[in-house]
Amino acid sequence: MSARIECHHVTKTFELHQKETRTLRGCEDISFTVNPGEFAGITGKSGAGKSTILKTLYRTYLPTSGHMYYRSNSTGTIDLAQASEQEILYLRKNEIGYVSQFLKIMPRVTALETVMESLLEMGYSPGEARSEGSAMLYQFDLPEYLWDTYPDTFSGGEKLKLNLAKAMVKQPALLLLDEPTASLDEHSKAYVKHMIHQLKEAGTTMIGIFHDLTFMDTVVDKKYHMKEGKLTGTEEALELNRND
Amino acid sequence: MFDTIQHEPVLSVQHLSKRFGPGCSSCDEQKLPSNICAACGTIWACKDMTFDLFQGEILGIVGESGSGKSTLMRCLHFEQEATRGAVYMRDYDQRSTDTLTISRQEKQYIKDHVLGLVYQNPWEGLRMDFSSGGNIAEKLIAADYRHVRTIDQRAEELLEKVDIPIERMSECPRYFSGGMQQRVQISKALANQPPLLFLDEVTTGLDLSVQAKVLDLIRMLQREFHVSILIVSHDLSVIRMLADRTMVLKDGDIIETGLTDQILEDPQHPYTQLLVQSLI
Repeated sequence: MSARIECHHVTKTFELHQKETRTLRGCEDISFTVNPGEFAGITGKSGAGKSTILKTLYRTYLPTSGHMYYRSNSTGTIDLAQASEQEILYLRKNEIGYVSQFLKIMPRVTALETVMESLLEMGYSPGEARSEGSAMLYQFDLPEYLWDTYPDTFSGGEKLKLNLAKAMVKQPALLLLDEPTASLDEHSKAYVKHMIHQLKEAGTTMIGIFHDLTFMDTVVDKKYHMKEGKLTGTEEALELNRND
Repeated sequence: MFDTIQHEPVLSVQHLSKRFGPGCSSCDEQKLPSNICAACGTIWACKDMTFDLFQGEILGIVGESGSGKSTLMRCLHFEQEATRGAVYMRDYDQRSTDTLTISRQEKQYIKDHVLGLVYQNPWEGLRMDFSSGGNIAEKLIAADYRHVRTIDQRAEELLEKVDIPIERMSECPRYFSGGMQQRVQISKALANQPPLLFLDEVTTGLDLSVQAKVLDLIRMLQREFHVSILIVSHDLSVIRMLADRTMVLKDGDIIETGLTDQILEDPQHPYTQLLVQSLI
């Protein structure tokens, strides 16, 4: 398998046990392939099932059926749908990143520590983690006076930058992005775009959800559209963008 | 340490059950609809529990009161005798003997060298009329520390880690606030650097800011010493913050186990769904 990730007929439904049991659709019969260094963009209305795909790949959601073959740098090809919790925890620490619009912060952990923690759990020394973490915050243009403060006071854009920095500093093999530019100004978007290109060059595979279609067109290699839980079409983005 | 996927558990619990009461022919715990036998009134606090804890991981245990959380902890710490089942520990003998069947002396050896337990109530884990330093020394002596200098140094080091001023080392925990008592209790449990730590509702009833200090301490332990931790809490936000994986208990059964974010965002069992929906 040369692709980084191959989804075969992935379906996710939710069974809610309230007064009576109800079944909700998440996504249905999703199949796609993304290669190393490739970026796939997903578009569609809210509720179409875009985030469900990302969360299922990250195993925050348990897939109902289907296979998600992931080619790991260390363990060979593994079906994320069947992988053990220990395997998933390992991959999350070392190879697979996920960024949402919402920052899950640890209380009383500073911005710099948040990014350092990503590296410490991979086995970096505190010194290395500090220097690489600082370099990453610098690249994202997060003002230096914020590095030693607690992110719960940050603006939406600052939180998102920190979230991206935290995931990208690992140079993951697979990065899942749920609206990575949702609350960013044009200036910050330029930094994110730059980082995305750098990661792509280093071989990171990305799958991203976008509402900002103009931004998406500048970073993705292929696009998928979703409607009512299904992928309704694929389209290779302009060759031009690939060399952008 | 983090370079490999963990396949070998440090603690392996198999089919553990604990019964309070005489038991009878009709109360085979696996078929009871709840945890009380209608025929003889026997309570099954833990029913056929099987799970593994891995190196350096924090496993959260949630469930309402009476679900069997504390009984499980106490059985693993040999304070209550399990009715059936087996428990294997890597740091005792590479998981070759069922530790529930070994002699009282051997169990004491495990408590002195392999396990640390922190109780919800500091009165259970501390001698309130011994000095704080003395409490730690007691644990160290049990773990075969012999040099008075080393013991003093280690006690100072530990109390410093949990933010207890050195000048209060000779005071009795009786005169400390609840939060300080809890931190002394944690430092006592850690004194002999146990590879396995059991935490039973350690933040319950503490002020928010003190709670935060205790949580920081737990995260530091995991990061710096790679201790494997079982943490019981009915507070889902504590579990969300700390646990890699979470186990949900109800009426003595493990009804669901999963990655913590999966348990919170995609709970499968009706009871877990109810629990998560109740989160404010």
